[in-house]
Amino acid sequence: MTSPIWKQFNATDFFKNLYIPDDWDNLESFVEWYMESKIPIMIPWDANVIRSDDAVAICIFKKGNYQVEFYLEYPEMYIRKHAHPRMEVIVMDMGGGGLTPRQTDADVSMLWGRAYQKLKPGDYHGGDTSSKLSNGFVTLAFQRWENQEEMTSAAILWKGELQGPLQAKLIKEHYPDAIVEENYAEVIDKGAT
Amino acid sequence: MNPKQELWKKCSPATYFENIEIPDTWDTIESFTNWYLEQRMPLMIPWDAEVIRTDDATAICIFRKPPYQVELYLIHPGLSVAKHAHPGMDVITMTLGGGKIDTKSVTNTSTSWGDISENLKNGEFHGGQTILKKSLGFALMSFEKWPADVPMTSAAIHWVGETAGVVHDKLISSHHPGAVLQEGYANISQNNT
Repeated sequence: MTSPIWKQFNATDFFKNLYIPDDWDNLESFVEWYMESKIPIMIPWDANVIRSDDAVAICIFKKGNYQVEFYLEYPEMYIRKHAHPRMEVIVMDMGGGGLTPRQTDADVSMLWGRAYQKLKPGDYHGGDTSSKLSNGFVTLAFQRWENQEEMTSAAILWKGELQGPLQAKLIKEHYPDAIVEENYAEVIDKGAT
Repeated sequence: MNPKQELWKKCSPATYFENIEIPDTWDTIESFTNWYLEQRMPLMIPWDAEVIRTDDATAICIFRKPPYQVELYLIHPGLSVAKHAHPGMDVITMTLGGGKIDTKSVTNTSTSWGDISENLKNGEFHGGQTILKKSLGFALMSFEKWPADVPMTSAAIHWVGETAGVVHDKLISSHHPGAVLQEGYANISQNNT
C-alpha cells in the first residue's frame, strides 16, 4: 500500500547551499566540516542497512575515501573490543538510552557531541560493558578508508571479538577468506602475501 | 560510549543548536514537519530515547517536543513493513532512501529522497509494500503527533495490524500487556486479558 505523496523535497534543492569539498586533508577536518554543515543526512542511494548482532547501521554520507555511519546500538548490548584494519575512525557519541543524564540546557544526553581521539588502522577500541545498562544509544562513526573500492561498513572491516552469528555472516559475505571463529574475526588484507 | 578512550573534542549542544528556535507547539503535523525540515533535520536525540528493535526495523526518536516527535527508522534488508495503523496518531513519513530502492540522483542519494507522504490520520492503514523486500534496507523518517493521553514511545509500539514477528510482539507486549491478540497480530486498542 503506497501512501499518497504530500510533497517532495528535491535533494538537489535541499542541499544546494551545502558546500562539499573535493577532498579533506585528514579525518579531523572531515569531522569538522560535517559537523559545521549540521550533519547532512545524505544517505547514498546504494547504502546497505548493516545488521549485526548488537547494532544496526547505515552510511549517512560518503565522498571519496570518507564516510559517516550512523549506528543504533541495541538496548543492553555493548561493543566488544576490536580494531579496523586499513581504516581511520573517529567516534562521536549522540546519546540516547537514558544511561547518562541530560544536559542542563537541552534535552539531549551529556554525551552528545563527544568525539574521541582518532583510531589509526589496527588501534583497538570498544569493550566498555557499562552500556549493557542502557536502553541503547547512537554513535556516528567518521571513517577514512585506505581503499575506496573496499568501502562498506566498520562492522565488516573488523579485527577482534565477534558480536555474534549475524556479524560472522556479514563478514564472510564480504570477505570469504576472513578468519571467523566462534568469538573472533579478522579480515585479511587482500594485498598481503 | 567509551569512557576509556581519550576525548578529542566536544561539540556543545547549546552552541550547536543555538540558532534553532523551537516553538512551544505547532498547529498541525504538516507545520511541524515543515519546521523540522527548514531547521535542516536537527539530530537532537532525547537523552532517554530508547533504541526500538523489531524483526524488520530498528529505530530511535531523533527529536521530541510533546505531542510531536520524529523517529528515524532503518528497515532491515530483504524486509518490508507490514500493513498497519497507529490509533489516535497523525503520521507523516519521509523517504531517506538507500538500499537501491530506486535510482541515483545527482546528490548520490535515492531519487525518492524527500518524498513525503500525506498525513496518515487516526487509524488509517499503511505499509504492506512487498516490493521493498528486494532492497538492501533503507531509511525513513516518521513525523508523529501523539494523542494527549498516551505516553510517547514509538510508532512501532503504538500499533494495530500485522506485526513483524516475535521480537515485535514482545516489544508491544512489554508496553501494552495483553495487546498482542495472537502471534503476528497486535491491537493496542484492545486487550485480550
